[in-house]
Amino acid sequence: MEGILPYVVTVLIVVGIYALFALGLNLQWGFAGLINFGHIAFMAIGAYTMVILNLYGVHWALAMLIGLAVAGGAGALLTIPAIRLKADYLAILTIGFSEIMRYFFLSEGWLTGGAGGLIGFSRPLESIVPVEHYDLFLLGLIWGIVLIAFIALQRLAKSPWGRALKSIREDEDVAKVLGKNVSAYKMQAFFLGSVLAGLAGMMMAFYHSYVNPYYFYPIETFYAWIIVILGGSANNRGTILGALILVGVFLTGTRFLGPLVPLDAYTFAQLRMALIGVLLIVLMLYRPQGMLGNRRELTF
Amino acid sequence: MNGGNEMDRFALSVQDLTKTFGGVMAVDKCYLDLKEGVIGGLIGPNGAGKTTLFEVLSGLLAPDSGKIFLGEQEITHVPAHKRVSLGLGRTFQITRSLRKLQVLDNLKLAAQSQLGESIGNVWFRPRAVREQERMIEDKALEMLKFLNLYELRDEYAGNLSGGQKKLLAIGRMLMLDPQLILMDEPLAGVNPSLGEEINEHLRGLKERGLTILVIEHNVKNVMRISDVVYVMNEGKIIAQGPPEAIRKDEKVIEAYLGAG
Repeated sequence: MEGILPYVVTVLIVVGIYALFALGLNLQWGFAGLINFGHIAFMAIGAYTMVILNLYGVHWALAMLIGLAVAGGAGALLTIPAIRLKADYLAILTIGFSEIMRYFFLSEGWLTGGAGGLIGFSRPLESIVPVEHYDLFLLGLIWGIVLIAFIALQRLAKSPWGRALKSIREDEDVAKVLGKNVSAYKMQAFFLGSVLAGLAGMMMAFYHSYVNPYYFYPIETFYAWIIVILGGSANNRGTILGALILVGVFLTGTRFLGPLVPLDAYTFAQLRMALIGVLLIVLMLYRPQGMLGNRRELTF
Repeated sequence: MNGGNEMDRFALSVQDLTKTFGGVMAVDKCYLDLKEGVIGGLIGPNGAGKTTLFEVLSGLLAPDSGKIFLGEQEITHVPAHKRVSLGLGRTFQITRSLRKLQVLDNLKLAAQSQLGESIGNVWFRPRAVREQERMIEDKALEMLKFLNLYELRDEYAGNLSGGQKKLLAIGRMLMLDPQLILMDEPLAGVNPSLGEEINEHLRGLKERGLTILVIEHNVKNVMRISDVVYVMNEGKIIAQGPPEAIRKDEKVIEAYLGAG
């Protein structure tokens, strides 16, 4: 690959990973109204489980499946104590959980490599795809997964299942007296959302051929929140568009502006975050439903 | 159903039910039996525990002690959503419409045993889900015609007037195909002609064999539509009987109706 192409591939890979990650959050927040501030934990759990199993000799495909089950299972389990909690306490519980997980991966070096992280695990079809084209292959793989996830989520969104989820977002008690098993729906939303986060984590590990605890700071969860709100809560198309704008334009895309702006790299990075803040404020003022959201179905 | 002693068949029995909030006895060793196929009116001063009783009956609050029977079956510890499949429906005092769902979706949501509420069916049996969804939609549209809300089917529930929301709540509850319905002040804040319409619906439901328990503050109306009236005060049923008897009961006059 030559010229600008490798750069575009890189940006689109990262956009795809964040799109997948944020689609999971959109299911939980946009459709079910569940405030998950610990989404990143499931990305970490998925990635580490897959990597560790593979390093212990499990085939990458099986390691991925187990990793997804573990990430999804952790999400579902977390809803058990969370079921009794109202919105803001759920937020505290989840962000606490995500930090506990990050410290676990940081400190249990015998298993996770600690701060040094883990390398040397195998990547899908590595023996077939030439190494110089591997990023291109990964790009196709990631966006293929995004497409499948999108279709699967769209079907759910338009189904009676999605309708029940929205009713829980509106009024849990009403959902209950209409015969909906609210706990089961919350658990399912957390399971699916966490599976998507886990998948995104695995893609990130494949892309870097490396995984370490510093990928999993809480700020990543809030990037997903920005993406979902920017694109429009409860809108899967909006979430993908939000990922393209936040990650493609603001986080990675503005990098090439660096030399053109008379600021040092650090100040420039800070300015970028400030701009995202301003963008969100303006958006909330004039389009609180986000870019593609439905104003009449505003989530909050 | 096959004869027997019709007089003794209860749709709802409450035995020695207690619910406290901190030191407050909201429901205090309450007993209540409601016969099948009748309209029961539940009256009592503010704070008597009527709405709390409904919360416990519908399973949104757990009682401290006592038992609840739906027909023959004890439901004291059955979760709220399962009580629905056993035939219990309710509405709320303040109408709680799902504001950001359309009117039609509010009703479709309430249909029971929906295939499309399972993720597996949505992904792998889309045709079966669609077919059932069409049947549910037909039923919901019929219900909207019955309630004179048909023209508003695509409107968001949040945009309905107070009276329309009351009707929507009734429709949503009827979509459950309940046997026993609990209604918390269906006539509060409703104009007289709509109130009469709601009364008509209640009588129609009774004719179809449903059992109804209504909390109501308008005494005149309670006496008119109820077969049996329960008077609640300080968490207990202090009197019950046919409307004429209740009107003359001294305890009731003292606690609620007032002299004169």
